[in-house]
Amino acid sequence: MNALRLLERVHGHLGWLAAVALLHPAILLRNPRRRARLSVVLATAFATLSGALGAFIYADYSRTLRRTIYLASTRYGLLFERKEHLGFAAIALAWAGCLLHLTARSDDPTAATRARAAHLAFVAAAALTIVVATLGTVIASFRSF
Amino acid sequence: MSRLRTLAVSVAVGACCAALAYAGSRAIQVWLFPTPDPRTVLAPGRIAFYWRAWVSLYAGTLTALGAAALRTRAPVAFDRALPGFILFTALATTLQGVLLP
Repeated sequence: MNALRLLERVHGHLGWLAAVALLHPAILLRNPRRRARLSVVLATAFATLSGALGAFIYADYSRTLRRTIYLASTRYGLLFERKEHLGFAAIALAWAGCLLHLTARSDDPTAATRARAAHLAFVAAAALTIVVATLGTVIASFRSF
Repeated sequence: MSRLRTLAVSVAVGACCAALAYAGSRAIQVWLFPTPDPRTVLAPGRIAFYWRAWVSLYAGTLTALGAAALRTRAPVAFDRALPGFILFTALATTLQGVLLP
């Protein structure tokens, strides 16, 4: 197994871990008074780490694999494009949710509003990450390094 | 503490704006400046994803500065707009990802 293939597998597994990790605050923060700092920080860290690894191997994907996938199937090529766009949005929303949750203290009059916004951000990030992880699995089983 | 809170909320808004800038730049690219067919490109000279990501992070940083200024003036109104803004970001980026890959 070459290094790129290994990194791709690690990226995929981290992506699924991030999806599961993001589900936790998405469920937990339905109650705006609930605090889950460790959960939101770890979930955001997982998503960021997975995205960073994806960005790291993206140059090699673009040079060696992208054309192969498009030649075999344009549909799968476009699925990968969707995955990369939705992945970027998911990480950005996870960061937004993390920061909003960390600032949602109960002694502030607008804390509940920020807590609600954080919950929404995590719901969106979790949903997008599940879609991204599913697309990644489908594409990786179609063509790989 | 209040300044730190404003900074964190502004960076959160900046992160959403980065996602919107990414989606917007990709949508503009698809509409107005279509890239060559990937099947005909042997080795790309530059990787568009990296450019889009950097430009959108830059845009997100700039909007975070603007958001900090806005929140300093009207923190309650600013915070009340956050859930709607998050929802808008999620919808807009999802629509772009699905309809304009």
